[in-house]
Amino acid sequence: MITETTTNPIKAKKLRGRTTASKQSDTYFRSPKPFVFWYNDYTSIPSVHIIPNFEINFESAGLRIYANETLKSNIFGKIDELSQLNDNWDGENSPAPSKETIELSKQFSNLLICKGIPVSFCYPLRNGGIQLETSDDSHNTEYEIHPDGRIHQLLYDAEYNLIATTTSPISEFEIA
Amino acid sequence: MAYQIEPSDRLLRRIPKKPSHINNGRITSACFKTRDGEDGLSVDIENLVSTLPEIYSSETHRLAAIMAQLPMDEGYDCQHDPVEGNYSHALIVGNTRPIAKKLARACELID
Repeated sequence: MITETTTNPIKAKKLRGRTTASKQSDTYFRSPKPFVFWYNDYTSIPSVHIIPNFEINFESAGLRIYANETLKSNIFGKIDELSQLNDNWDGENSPAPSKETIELSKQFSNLLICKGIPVSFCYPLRNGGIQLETSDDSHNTEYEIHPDGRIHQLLYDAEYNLIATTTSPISEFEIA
Repeated sequence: MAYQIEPSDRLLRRIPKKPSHINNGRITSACFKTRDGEDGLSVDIENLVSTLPEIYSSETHRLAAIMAQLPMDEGYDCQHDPVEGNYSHALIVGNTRPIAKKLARACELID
């Protein structure tokens, strides 16, 4: 049940400073950009309703923690599935990702999510690496985790032309 | 005698089923990236394929088609490269990583 929501910016402004909460939902008017957060008991998926005419501030309300944990759980599960692959999974002597590559992919996914990049999909590369992608093309970047520990960041323009590539170990990685 | 690939030729690429390489109906670029040391990306020339089971197993893979014009327009040679047991085999010559995403977005699943 959602409490104390409004699409009226004047009313929302009056409500700012209050935080109402129920067992399943919270309305965050303390944030400069009010929103409603609720938790679905059946699917265990947290959801957000942004009150129109305001922007959202995940950091100040702490919602980012919830969103991040869901993203992490999702992508970690998918990366774990890749550990089930056997060598030659795509023919042509394609090696399966190693345990080290699996772990590095999780570590790097965590880093991306904490930076606000919603990594949602992973695919094996035919050299034993793993490619991470966001759920749509809005981010226009792919990340390749290679068996030797290098991470490639591939940045595309709107027409899918590759416009920049960076390579570095995770310890020196800088997100474009 | 080698077949001369024309821009209007369709090139077929195998797409693994497990794990799925398709997200929201779109194929990942990972399917179109060459590995270090490879001469090019393996494809098959549709015109030279007599039956699809010759080039792939429907249990493990799907097939995607791209027009040869796309890699050619990007400056890549497409060469007929028959191998033992597969006369229709061809290569998009060179490192295809720079155009992998374009190929992935332009291709069409045909099975």
